[in-house]
Amino acid sequence: MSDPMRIRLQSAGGLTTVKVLMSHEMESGQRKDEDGKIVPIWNIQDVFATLNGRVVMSSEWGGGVSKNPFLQFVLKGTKPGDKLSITWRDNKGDTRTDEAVVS
Amino acid sequence: MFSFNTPFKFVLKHLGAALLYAYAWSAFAQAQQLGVSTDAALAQYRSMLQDANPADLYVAKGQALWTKARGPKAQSLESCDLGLGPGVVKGAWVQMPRYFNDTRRVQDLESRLVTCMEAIQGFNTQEIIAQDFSKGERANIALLAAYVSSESQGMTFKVPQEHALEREMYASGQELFYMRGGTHDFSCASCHTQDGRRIRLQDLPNLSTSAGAGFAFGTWPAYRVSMGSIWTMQQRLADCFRQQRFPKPKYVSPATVALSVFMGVNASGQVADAPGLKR
Amino acid sequence: MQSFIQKCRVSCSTKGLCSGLIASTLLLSLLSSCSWTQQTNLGIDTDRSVQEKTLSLVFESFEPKGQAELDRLKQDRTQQFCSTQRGLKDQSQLTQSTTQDQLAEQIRLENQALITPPKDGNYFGDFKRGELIAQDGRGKTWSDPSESPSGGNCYNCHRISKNELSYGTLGPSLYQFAKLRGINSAKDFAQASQNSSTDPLIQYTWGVLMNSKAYNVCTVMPRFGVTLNHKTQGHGGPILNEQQIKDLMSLLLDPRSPVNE
Repeated sequence: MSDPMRIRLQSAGGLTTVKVLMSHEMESGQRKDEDGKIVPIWNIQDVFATLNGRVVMSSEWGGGVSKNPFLQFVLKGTKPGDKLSITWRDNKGDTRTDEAVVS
Repeated sequence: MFSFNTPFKFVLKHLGAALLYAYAWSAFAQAQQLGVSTDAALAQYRSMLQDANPADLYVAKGQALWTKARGPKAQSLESCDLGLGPGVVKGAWVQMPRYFNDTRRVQDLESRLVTCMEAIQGFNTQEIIAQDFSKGERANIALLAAYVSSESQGMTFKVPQEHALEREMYASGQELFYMRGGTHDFSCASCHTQDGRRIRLQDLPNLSTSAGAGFAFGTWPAYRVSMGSIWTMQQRLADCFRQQRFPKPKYVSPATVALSVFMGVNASGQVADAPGLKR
Repeated sequence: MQSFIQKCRVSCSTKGLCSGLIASTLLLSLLSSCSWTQQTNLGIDTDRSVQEKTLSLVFESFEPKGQAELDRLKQDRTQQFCSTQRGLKDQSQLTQSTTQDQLAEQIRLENQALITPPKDGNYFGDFKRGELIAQDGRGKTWSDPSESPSGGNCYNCHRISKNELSYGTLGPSLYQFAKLRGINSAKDFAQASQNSSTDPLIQYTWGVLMNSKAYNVCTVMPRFGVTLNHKTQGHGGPILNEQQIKDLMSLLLDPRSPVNE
């Protein structure tokens, strides 16, 4: 089971800034290990966010995102009590979802 | 030969452009003065990074390790005494290094963690010392260090100088700090005794002052973005010595502890902010 | 300016004494068992027992790795002398002192004696290679193979070429080095280099690159070109070889170099 994401929400006047710190090795597939062998690709490919169950942000990530990625975006039209969930999926088929509540 | 009107018309015609040009130039000159210097741009970049310090992820792992039963004796570290009594983690780090009665010597955080890992959990000290940084139990010590230091976040440094050995270690740490050696004649002081200097684009804290020592000693352990991992103070010191062209300091050796005593005491009254975030 | 501080390290405990006796006891312990540190115009000198204790602590705490042997911790006279100079805002204040002038001067002259002119009399090389040497920070560490050449790592401390923004500020800017010192054209340069062995700028630049301590005895700048004449400090020869120093000379003094743009 992967490590939890750390989600921080900062709300003011219907706008919520979402800051997410994800725990993931994000191997680009270009790095060589100590023995000179390529470390295989292992990275997050899709990230999406839902607000009260409705998808409000979706993204496809290519290579070049570094280890322990930090994602930030702004949502309009949020109210206190809204439930935000963030989900990532990686190329190995692992997935993780974490939630936070808008205050 | 110009008539009276021509120069006047000329000026009027170009007045707009001239004024505009003058305005733009003064704006440019002002911008240059206040402007985005290399230092300002770097500071801005760093403050943006501060927003999400990946070290937070490692603090959580360290906390899990602290409470987990591990090692040959299958015990947790919850009875480890970091100076404020068995199991007291909060506020312990800002009072380290310090003298410990049971080992009869001055120990920094990592040295003390090794002591607890052997005495309580049954790990082998020599194996830990022989190991490389970021591997095996040394990687776990980095996580534990991140956790323990985070439990002193926002507190002020109060590294003790009550015991004679604590004071001796300060004196030795100071001596080593100023010791020129190696192929390049470097000492710690070569780089760390002036304000406002940098190596390439890396700012250098002045460790001989309270503010500089407080910043440096108070932000390691840190998440090192370039390495994608937590580096502890021992690791930072070892890499300094490598670049000084010195031979290698042994892990948690007295010299390394002495330097931490020197920095920690100099940092008295400054606020701890670990784990930090570094390039 | 310098602040002259006298410190006393009290190595005896005063615990368990009632306040009335503390003052006199302290005074007695200060007089009898204290280790005083001396003060000099240069900064704070150190106490012999602290030095000895620290040295044994140091040798016990370090181990050889790669090409970095323990003999690197055996200090030569320059290193010993400069280790005792501290508490100063600027290391360059050292040579302005009056108190330890003689010793400083002796050591400076010892360093000066190590400087030799280029074997073929030609002080210059290739400034493009010089720039690479200035950029290269490798060499002499325990993670460097002993056979591989070192770089000068000059950008660590100095601003040098016009367009390299990633420079340090531990040393003065070297940008426009020759231009600011009277070499403004190919003609100036040709003239100066024809009389290399007597031209003051060429001699100074060569000297500083070879052995900076001949000019500022406790400078932070390493002694790049000379083999340090110290039997136990066997670090396998100078940091930079003669050709590398010549390339750096061109980097700094050749009017076509990016330094003098």
